[in-house]
Amino acid sequence: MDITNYLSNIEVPSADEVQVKLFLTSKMEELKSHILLLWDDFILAESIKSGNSETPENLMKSDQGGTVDPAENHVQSSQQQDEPQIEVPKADLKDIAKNEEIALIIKNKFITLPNGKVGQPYNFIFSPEKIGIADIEDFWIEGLEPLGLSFDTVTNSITGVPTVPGEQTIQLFLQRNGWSKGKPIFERKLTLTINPDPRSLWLNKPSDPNDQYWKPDSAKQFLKVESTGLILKTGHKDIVAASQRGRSHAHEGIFRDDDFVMDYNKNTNWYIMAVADGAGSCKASRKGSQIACQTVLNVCKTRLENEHKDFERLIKELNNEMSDANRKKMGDSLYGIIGAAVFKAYKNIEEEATISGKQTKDFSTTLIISICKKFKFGWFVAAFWVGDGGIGIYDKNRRFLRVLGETDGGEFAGQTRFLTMPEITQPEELYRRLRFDIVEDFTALILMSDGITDPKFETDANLLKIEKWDELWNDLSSEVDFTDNNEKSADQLLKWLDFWSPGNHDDRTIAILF
Amino acid sequence: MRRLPVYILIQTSGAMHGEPIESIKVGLESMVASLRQDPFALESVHISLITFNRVTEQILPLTELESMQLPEITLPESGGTHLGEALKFICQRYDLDIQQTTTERKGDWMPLLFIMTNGKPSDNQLYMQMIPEIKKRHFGSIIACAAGAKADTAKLKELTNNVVSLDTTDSATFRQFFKWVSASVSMGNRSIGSAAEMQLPPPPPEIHTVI
Repeated sequence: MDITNYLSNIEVPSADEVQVKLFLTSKMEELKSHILLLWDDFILAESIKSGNSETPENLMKSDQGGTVDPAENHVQSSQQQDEPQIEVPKADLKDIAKNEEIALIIKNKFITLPNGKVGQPYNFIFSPEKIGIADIEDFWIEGLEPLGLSFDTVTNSITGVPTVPGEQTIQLFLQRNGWSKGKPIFERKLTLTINPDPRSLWLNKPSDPNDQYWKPDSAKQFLKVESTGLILKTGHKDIVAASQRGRSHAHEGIFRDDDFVMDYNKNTNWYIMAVADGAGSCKASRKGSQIACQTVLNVCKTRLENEHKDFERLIKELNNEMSDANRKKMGDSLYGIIGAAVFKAYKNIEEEATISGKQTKDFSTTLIISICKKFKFGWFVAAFWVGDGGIGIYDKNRRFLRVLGETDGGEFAGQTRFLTMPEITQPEELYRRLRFDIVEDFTALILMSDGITDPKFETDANLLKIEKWDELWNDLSSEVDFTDNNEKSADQLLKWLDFWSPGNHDDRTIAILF
Repeated sequence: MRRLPVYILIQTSGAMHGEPIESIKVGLESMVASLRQDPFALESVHISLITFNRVTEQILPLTELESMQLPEITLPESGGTHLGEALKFICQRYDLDIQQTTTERKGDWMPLLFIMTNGKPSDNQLYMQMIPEIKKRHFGSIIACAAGAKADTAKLKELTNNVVSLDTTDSATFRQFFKWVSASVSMGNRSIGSAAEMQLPPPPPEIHTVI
């Protein structure tokens, strides 16, 4: 057989390397025997020692699978070929073998490119040498443009801002050193993973309004407190609250599990606020948080209406003398108001569980409560807290922070304690979670669910750092106008709740007395 | 940001040559692709791939989903099911990798462990010793998959309640399995009570849950 005949008879475009490789592989045995034959010719030619030294340059080209003029084939056939004529095919065959070797390396190489991300600049310098492909003079990558990327031949890098997510296929082309037209161009398909922008993946499916325990996907409220009567001119504060279903819930069309209540009693001048966060893994927790909030509101309101005179006398005594005895009296009294409310909340949940044939733990919820009132000597603030989230009295100017309790965290993310755990309503446990304080004034009293504390404070230790509260307040103030009587603050707060924080997509609820 | 660590333990013995290992590769690829479509997973899931036969090898250290690339899975000529060794390795990785919540640091979500094996540990004594060690650690869920018609589920049930068996080892079955795995992973990041166990999505019909 004659290799040049073979190559000239198959019509393979020089760029179609796959075809050439397939051909060469399938003809391996024949090629080998041809090499041996040529070698024999060479030995023979050596012995004949002809004086002709003309070199057929076209042979070089023809062996590479390029276009060959069949008329030139004669250079192969004669046994009278001189030395240089025979040496050239020998070098060529070495070249073919080398090409095959490189083709095989390129084919089997485990090549990975760093993943990109939609909308984020991508820049990767590609180097064949670094990944173990040697003897390469030039290379480039095609198929990048539709993805928003391009190949920079100066820096040998893939650059741009990806626009299309997915497992994308691109082509790598390589040329060996000393490449000239007609010589093989190696091709290899590569996979480039472009991650989607997580923001684009979130769906916003409405929750089922026909569900037994349906509640709106968001809620907001503003309570304007007029500066009249018993409230001192400078002392009155408004309340604003907002609650937004988290992206992780919206994505699946499931419900907002958080809830809140707030109230201001014009007759007694007492404020009541509560924020509750139903456990994401419990099927009726949205009802649990709602029952908890409503019960707290009802019980505290009634108790304060009935007992506010006695209770306020205790507060004044406490203000006069912060003695242990007075603190104890205050604790006991609070236990009778907030403690009773917490216990009743638990009982009401239990009752709902019985009626609906569910278990109490299906209604698992956290609960943060605060009651407060302005006096001549300052603000009395009391609180109860079970679960995660947070509550604090923050004064921006005086650089004052009082966190009213402790976070109930577990060893792992997402773990906490709930109102519905039987031990929580044990008297000592309940008592232990009560807090009260008298402060001159404050910028804000803030109650929030973990949908806010997780992204804004991250750790329990940070919740005690005033710098973190400064950041939160600055962040809030940039979108919410906390001036007096701002009816729009509820809308502004609800809008603020949509802030972006990677990995934090839980329900968010915040109530602010300011 | 909180991580959801996912350990995937795959038996790579000589018997896996050919279609079974190719099917697993395809399955893993589709699992990763589908997790990348889940916005929560994209921001929280970290995957580690560990292969075992006579030796255990971590072919992919715990890597965030966004930047992870599936490594090559190579098979030895012969086998051995040193599942005990592999579990021992998992315990070591758990102790090194997993961050628990402290006042200064936000902890990981409870890690998940997926095991794919023929269920016939050849180092049975060590295997039995490692079971209580694994249970001491807090995995959100351990899912054992007995792959192949000759696989044995009895031993695996001593390790976890979540044992599934795959009768065939073709790519369609593995694809279904890994689809289910990714659904399980997606459910891994939810608030739960301190003592609660993670709920798994129902497995597809190709996968038989062993009770």
